[in-house]
Amino acid sequence: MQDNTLKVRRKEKVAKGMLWLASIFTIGILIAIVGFILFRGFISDRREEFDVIDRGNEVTLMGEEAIPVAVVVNRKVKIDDLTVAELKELFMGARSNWGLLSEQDIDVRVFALRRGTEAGDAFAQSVMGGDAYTDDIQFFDSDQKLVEKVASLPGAIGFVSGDVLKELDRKEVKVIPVRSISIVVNPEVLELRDNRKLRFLNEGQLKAIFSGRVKNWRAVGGINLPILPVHFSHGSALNENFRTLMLGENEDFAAGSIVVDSLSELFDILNSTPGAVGFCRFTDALDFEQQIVKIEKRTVKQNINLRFLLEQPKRAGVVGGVSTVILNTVFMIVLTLLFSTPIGIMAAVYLTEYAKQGTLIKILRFGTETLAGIPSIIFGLFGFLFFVTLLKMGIGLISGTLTITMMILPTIVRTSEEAIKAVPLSYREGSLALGATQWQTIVRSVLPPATPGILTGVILAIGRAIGETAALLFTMGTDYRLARDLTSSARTLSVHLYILVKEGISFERAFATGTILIAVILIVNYTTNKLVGRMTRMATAKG
Amino acid sequence: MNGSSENKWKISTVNLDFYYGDIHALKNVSIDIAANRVTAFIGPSGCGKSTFLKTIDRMNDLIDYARVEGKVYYEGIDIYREFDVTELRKKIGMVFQKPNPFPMSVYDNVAYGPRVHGIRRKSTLNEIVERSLKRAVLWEEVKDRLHQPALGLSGGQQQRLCIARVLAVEPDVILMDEPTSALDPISTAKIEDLIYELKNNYTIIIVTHNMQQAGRISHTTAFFLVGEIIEVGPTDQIFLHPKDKRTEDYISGRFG
Repeated sequence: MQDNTLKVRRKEKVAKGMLWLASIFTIGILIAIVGFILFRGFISDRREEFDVIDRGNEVTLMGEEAIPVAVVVNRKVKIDDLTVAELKELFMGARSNWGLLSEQDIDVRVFALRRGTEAGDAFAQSVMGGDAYTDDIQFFDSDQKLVEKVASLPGAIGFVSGDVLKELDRKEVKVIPVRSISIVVNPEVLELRDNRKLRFLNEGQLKAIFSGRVKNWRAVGGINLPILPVHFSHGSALNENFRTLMLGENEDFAAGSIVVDSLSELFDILNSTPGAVGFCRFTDALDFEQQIVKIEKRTVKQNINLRFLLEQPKRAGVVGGVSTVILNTVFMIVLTLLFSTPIGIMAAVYLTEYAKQGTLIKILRFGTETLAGIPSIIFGLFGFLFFVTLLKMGIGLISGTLTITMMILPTIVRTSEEAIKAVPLSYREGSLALGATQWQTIVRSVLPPATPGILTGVILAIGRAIGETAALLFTMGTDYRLARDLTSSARTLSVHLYILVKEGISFERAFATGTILIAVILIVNYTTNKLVGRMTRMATAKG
Repeated sequence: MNGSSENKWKISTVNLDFYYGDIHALKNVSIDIAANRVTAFIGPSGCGKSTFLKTIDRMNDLIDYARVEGKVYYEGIDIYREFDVTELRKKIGMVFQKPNPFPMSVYDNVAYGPRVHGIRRKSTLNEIVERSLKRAVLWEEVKDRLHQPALGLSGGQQQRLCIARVLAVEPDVILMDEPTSALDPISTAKIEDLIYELKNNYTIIIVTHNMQQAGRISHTTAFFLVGEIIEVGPTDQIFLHPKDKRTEDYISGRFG
């Protein structure tokens, strides 16, 4: 006897343990998925690779004579720094809009100091490297006039002589640091050996390399080769610049570093000494492009913000927010609800209350259940062929909504049926016995208690509609502007997310959109639960 | 046991046969029910008493495979062929074995019937609700909680509420299917008193398992056995001097 109870008790413990495991596993997965999306939705973590180091100077020495030059932009441009390559693109006219650089939809206007001026020549030599300016550029003789112009035009960028900087009224324009220093190495450092190859370095690693804390390339992801830092003599302005930028005011280069006096000496050493690493201006390194080490810059900042919710998308979604997309999604939900709920509930009522149980019903039920399981993309295809093409409704709100309605109708009918069937027969009997008609009985004593169940089913179906992507791509289109009428193409949140990722527009924005989607689902589910709970409590409350 | 359809009988059945699919549940039942009296149907479980009750207000219509043959008359009119079923159920109310208040407030439960029949004005409804609850001897207990859920009442109160609900549509006849079998003795006693009061204004047919109950409150008793009426007559006579041996056996407790 006792043996048996022990066995039973052990089995119970095992079962309980497995249940616990399953629950924790499920919750774990949920937290992992939702948590990750929310995390990346709120905090963007961007990693980019550049040819120049992370830090820049407000005053950069340009040209052979090392003329101090400062870059200024209009206050409206939201940019923290620029690389020399980006500067060149702007001044060459390769970028007509600040777009991805500053995530703003502002046109670029470039202004330069005329050739013949010291700064003008230095800039043209160092940054442009002999290539021509854009045709839309405007030249100035005086620094003051240039600054005035830049201050007055949103999106304007220009440069002035570094000496002028002190007298500059900082309130008018913003001075942008320019990142112009590259890291160059001995070719062997970048070799592939033993399955290892140095791909990029980050700021922390650079600091460790030049201060001598790290002595072998292996420690920073490269091959097994001792590091040999090279720097210029202490009198060189570039050297001082690099030292303060990378190592800090009080630190010095590694003890065993090689010291050179000129650029040519630097490259002689780099080419002859295995493991050597040095630095120089980007424009000077262009002839030795293969030897520039890529620098990884990591930007962690707030991703989603109120602006994202309130602004419209611009420039293919590169810039701006998702306000119109949210509204389009709302339109889609409301219209779908309008079509699917009455039809679904009426069908369920008919099936449970009026229809004679027989073969026809069995066929209908089989059809409904099968439809409920068909992949949504098939519905999309059908919707495209039927609503968009055959009925000539075109790609727009109405075609998309009708397609989604067809998709979720079986689910709504099924859950409504279950909810209605769950209403106790005694309510019906009581109502009929009082002389009510069948219709009155349904409306007054069957549907009200069934409402929580019906509502739950409707909300679940809507949840599926919100997440629908493929079907809507074919039938509702991708226009991110606010839908104007029933035939307008309109993009919803899921479709927007898909496009952002597929077209490689912005992973950060995709995560932000995903966060909004999750928030919408959470809100919808939470409100439904509260509503259903309140209804159920009112109906069955014990006093 | 006259087969006539005279108007002096509130309800008459003539050669009533009832089938659940192939099962012959009621066999050639002919009975006359007098007005303003309490008629009790007694008999062992499954003998057809509840089925018979339901043929009177046509609640069997709800069952797909049910079939009625023969005639049932209410005040001389054939209820299956010449009477609108919703009108019929307004005249003939039913109280079920297990109290089944709607998941609504007490007020809404009682007002349900009148509302369904078109009465909308608040003042009229208020009047009807109060009157019905008073007649069901429930008013004092619920008058301060009219708008609270009916499901919060005790079993006995819920059953009286169901009676009030039926009274609200002002029927002629009240059918009761074992109305106290799910209740405690005190609630049972209260309801029995209520039934005795109601008989002055309504015709009551009560199906009961409880012979003492039948003895206490009814004037006429009919004994059912396997779908047939074995004997029907004044209650005293049935209980004290049953004519049929089967009746005597049942009453003395030898079976059922």
